Amino acid sequence: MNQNLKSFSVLAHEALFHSAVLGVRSVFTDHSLFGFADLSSILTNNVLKFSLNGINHVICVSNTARENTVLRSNLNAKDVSVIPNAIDASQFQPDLSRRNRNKIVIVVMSRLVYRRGTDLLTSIIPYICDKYPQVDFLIGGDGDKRILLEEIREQHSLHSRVELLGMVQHELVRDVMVRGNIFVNTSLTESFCITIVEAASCGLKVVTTDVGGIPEVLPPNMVKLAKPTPESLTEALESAIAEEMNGLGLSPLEQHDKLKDIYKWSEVARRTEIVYNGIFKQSVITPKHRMDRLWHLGIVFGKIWIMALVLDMIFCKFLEWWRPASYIDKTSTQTLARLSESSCNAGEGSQKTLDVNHGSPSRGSLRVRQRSKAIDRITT
Amino acid sequence: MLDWKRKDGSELNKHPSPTRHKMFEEYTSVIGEHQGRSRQLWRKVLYEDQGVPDNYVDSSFLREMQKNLFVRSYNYWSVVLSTGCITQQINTVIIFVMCFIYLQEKLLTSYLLNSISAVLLLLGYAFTVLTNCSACDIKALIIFCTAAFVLSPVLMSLTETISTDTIYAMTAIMLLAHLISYDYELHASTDGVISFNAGIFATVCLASRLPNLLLGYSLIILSAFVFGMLPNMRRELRSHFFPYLDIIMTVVHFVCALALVCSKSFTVAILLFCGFFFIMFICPHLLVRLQPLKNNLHGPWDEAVVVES
Repeated sequence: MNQNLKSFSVLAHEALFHSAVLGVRSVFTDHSLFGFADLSSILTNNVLKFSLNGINHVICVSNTARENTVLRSNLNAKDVSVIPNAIDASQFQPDLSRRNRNKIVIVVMSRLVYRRGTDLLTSIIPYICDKYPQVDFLIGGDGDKRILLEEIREQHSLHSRVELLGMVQHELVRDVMVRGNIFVNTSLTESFCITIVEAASCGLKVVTTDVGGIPEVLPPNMVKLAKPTPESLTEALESAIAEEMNGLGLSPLEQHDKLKDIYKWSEVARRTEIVYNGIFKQSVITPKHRMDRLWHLGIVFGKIWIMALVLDMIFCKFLEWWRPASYIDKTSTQTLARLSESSCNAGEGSQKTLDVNHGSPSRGSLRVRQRSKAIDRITT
Repeated sequence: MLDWKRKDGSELNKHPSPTRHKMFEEYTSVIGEHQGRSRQLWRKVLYEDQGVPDNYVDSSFLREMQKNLFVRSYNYWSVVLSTGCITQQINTVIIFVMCFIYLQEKLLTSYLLNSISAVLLLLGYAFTVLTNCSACDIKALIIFCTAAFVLSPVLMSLTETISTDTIYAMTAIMLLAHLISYDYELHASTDGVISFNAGIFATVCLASRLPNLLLGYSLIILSAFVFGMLPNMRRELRSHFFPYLDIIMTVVHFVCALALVCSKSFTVAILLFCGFFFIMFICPHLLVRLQPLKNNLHGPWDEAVVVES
């Protein structure tokens, strides 16, 4: 039970549980990929199966994530939509004046943990620095594997060529990225890597591992995919360096112009709205219907879940008596109930949706906030 | 279809493709049809608008999923042979406990036990020299025997004040822990620290119930052999002479243990026999039967494994 639990939001599932009793339609947005093999994944997937039992719709950020979610929760694939993340391209514009004319700078911007492939990074840095004297590394981010990078720096005396910036604030990420020519992402698992889109928008050439949903994100002329091995990454990186030295490939401004039309928050909001409008036509799943389904879903745990549901209904009735719903103002927009909302706003068949986002912390929660803001903007 | 307008009355940007605005109930599950403006194959990409709704399910859905890539199939008799190591260790523990009971009832004199232990240790030493096994350290064992002789009064008095029932319960738990944490692998991967320590602790518990100091020392020496040297010796023998010697060893262990237990209590012997039959013949059958039911899923969502080169 280590990092998978971190990206498993308890509050989200609690909200989903209450939506059954309140008669609120629910949408679940999944930002991360899960395996099937280890113990924590098995338990998490089982809970997900029960939790998403009465969901109206699920949104995933990539096609691979969709396949993963469908397998994990035994949903019908038709009930899962693929709506990718987006970036605010105006915040990530290239700035060629910030580049060093005599050097090729390779930027890395990620958490320095096992999942982000820092071990792969430590394998390729000495080789590249040795072969290309004009190449420098600029590494932003912190984590428990930072010590490995510092060791490599010491071992090969690369103090002047490998710069470790530590934790970089989100507002300053673009300023760091525009100093580079090439961006490297060595993740071992990624559902939709937004950092490579940000880097490509800043005009950097992107070299990345082809795990998870990454091959779906950028067009082939903007990215170099590699297998998650040091040899493959080195090869891809070398071809990127060769392109940079000879001035081949798309120019930074061309890349930015192309990308700014592909991933837009307004598109995300529009497509999410289609999902919301679609589920309003569906009938609300009543607790009784849910209980029928739960009865068959698990021999023991299904029954326990039903008991919890009944207790929740009793509690809701008590709350209805104590603080009746008619005394609480109803909001008029569709964009209710974010992660923080879990109060008893009754309303059978009302035009309310519970949109529950969960994903890994830091960047994931930022993505969640950006999606919510985009939907807000378009519907008010 | 609801017509969205901004608050100031301006229209929202409408996407040029009409198919995007399909409502969900209009979209029946057309799995497999290649829709789209340009009548091309649907590709698994996010950067292109392929003119299909967001919940379109292509025929290539889950095509990259693979099942049971690394699952091995078992042969019944080879699994039965492999259970020999478990049977041997359980029998060893039973023989050890029976030795304790005999010592307590003075059916076995300490001289006899010491001479048996000495012979076994010498055999072990000869074996070490012959097979050049680095793990069987005879020097450490001699040092241990000497130290045990000096410290045996202390060791015996460690658990003297604890009641007999607690002692027996603790011994049972410790021996169970020893069996559970024992390294049954053909080639020793871990040092088996927990199993060794559990065995020694069980010995210390039992030694305090013995009336005589010398008897206690005999038991400690026997335990040093059983928990310290025997695992390594057996592993070496098995790796060199598998499977024939293994079968002989299993049978010898089984017969010895059963004979010793029989002399004390016939019912327990019968129960043991049934238990071993279950472990040796029924458990492999279950394993072979359940193996095809495995459902391991592999696909592009798997976390990559970094191979240290």
